[in-house]
Amino acid sequence: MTNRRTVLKSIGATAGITSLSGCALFNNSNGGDNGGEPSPSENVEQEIPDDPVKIVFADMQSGPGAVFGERAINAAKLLVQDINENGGILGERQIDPTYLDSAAGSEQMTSEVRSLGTEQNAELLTGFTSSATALAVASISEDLGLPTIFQNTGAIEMFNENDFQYIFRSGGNLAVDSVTAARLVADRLPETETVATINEDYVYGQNHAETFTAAIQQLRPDIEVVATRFTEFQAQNHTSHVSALNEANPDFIYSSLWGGAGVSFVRQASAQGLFDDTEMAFGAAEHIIQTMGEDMPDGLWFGGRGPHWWNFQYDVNPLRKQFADRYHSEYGEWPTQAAFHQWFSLYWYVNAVEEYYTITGGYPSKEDVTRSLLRTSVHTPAGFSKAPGRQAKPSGYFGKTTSSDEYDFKNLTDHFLAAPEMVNPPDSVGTIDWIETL
Amino acid sequence: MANLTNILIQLFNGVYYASFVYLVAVGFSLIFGIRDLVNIAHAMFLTAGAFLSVTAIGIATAYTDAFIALFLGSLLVIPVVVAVAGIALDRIVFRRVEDIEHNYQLLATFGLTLAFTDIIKLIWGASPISMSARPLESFGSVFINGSQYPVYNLFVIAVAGIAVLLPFLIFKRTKMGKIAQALAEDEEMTAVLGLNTNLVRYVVFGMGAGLAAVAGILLVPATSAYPNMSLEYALLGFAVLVIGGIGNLRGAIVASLLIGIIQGFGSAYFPEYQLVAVFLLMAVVLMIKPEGIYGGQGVLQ
Repeated sequence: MTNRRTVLKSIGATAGITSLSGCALFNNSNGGDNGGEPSPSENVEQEIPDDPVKIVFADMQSGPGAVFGERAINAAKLLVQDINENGGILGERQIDPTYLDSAAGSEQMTSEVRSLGTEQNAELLTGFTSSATALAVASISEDLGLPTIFQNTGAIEMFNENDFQYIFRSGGNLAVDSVTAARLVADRLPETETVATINEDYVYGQNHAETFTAAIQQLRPDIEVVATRFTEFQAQNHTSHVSALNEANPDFIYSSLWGGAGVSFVRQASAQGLFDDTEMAFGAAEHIIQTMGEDMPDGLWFGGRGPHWWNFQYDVNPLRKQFADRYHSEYGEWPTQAAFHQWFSLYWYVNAVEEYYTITGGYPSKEDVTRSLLRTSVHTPAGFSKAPGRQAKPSGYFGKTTSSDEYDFKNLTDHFLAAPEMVNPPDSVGTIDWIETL
Repeated sequence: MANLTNILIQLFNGVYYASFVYLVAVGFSLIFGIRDLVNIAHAMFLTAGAFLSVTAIGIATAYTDAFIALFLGSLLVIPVVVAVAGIALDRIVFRRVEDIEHNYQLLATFGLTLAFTDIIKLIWGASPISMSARPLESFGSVFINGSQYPVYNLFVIAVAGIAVLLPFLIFKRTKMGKIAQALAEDEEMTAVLGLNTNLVRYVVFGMGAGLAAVAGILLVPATSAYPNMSLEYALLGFAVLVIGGIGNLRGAIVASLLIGIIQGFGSAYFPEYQLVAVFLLMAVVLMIKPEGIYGGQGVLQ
């Protein structure tokens, strides 16, 4: 079995060799350059610290967002346990985790983060599902110099409007769902003449509607958008919307409905025959597939902010198989998008620390970590993430629900995969601006 | 674009939604009127009904495939269980807050709602769960002028209809009902006259809790059971009180219908206003008749 540590070591060695040529990047701001050898920043502790590293995992453990946050925290607990059982970071430094419920809201989160970052000397903060809370916390993290990796937040203008040093995101820009869906229509569903969108009426849903509509109009200008509908945030009664969509009768519908709202919509739409003559794609909603079991109709497209459907490439990617099996044996369900994001966040950090140490021989400070994160590529269960960059760029993915003999929920087949550059804007470019160049 | 069939379907959708609102609000309103108890945690019985039915049906479907029978069975049994549990809770908890000011009742019961939501989360987890009997599918569909419509929605409306008739008959025809009406009007006098108010109190509470549980069970097939249900429907119950008046059966019916239909047509044809619509209605009622459309009247007027 490919042990994650051996994979890491081989990556570390490869990265080490290729990095030595670009070692000037690791010079500290004082410009110390000892003849091409990477030099650690002045205040680094050369030795691996004796005390455990305090990592804060903050995610929604209550409220509707718990469908994401609970899974992320589940993954965190598992991975921290595994890493610590193997000795910890670099085989020596244990992780001391703190778990927070980010559903408490921006105000409480910012004060907690401030306290954890100062008195308690946390060295990494990861998590967050709500972009609003994340952006509020971001300014605190920047202030404190606390490396922070956001996960499920999808906001389209996180990095091009802000000049962050300490903020990273392991989850894709939500364009990964909406633009991939537009490409799905262009590539796989050429007979489509009319489309509609239905999303929740808050920034997340509005972003999805905006980006999908812009993308489809670029890729297939002949297509007509017959309806742009918005529902109340996590409203459960969609019967009126379904009836209205039946009336408008589009060939294809794109939606970012998630969690309970997604489940309700699928049930009610199915009961009213919406899917009989309409194709539908749900961005970032693969987490409802296991929940719905046999109730999920066949023939619906699902994405997960990237290729996060657990079964996709299960037999091909050993990290995916290992993580999925481990998560499933512990929690009785297969991992979803949030769990994969958590894996990526944690191991991006661990890799960054370990690579830094491997190359320079010194343990990185929090500032060093941010430089290393920028330059660390990571093999993840969901694919290879290529540095440099602070915003992860997953491949685009949609799969079609299909009955399966093996599982009591629907599997995804007919995989549609789009290369990262085709569905992720570059870090410095506004998402809508980028879409208009497609 | 909006032809007659579509308008009819949206009307059904509105009444369908109104059914849930009514089932949870009627108990809330009547308990307030007859027992003088503001129990914003009333929606906890809806949530209890939802989760208990999912678990019960989940266990039962391991042994049988008779989905519709299981569903109907749970619809008859679980509300009774919840009603009895509710009455027990009433004796232990709510009795104590009955004599304090309404404001404090509101605060206490709101706290209870939050605690209850957390208990649900503790037992069943934070993610929504679904019913394995799949009633939505099992009931099938009808075609209304070419538009497919689930029979289940019509079933829900029918159940709500029974839930309208039943209290009406009880209050009008039975002795207990008449005592309840008297209690609503003048508590002291009723006690002085030596009528057995205790039994009536419990029955009213149990009936309210049971009807809320029915709403919960009916909600699950079309959506799912999730911990936040209590808060969501508590707010709707409040809106019904404001619009329809406290402790009045007709007020609960009319207010629920108004809310349901406005929401339904709102989402369909005026989506920008769908959220505001119900609150606009509340504002209008508060301005014209602050005690609610049928407020200030007895249970049956």
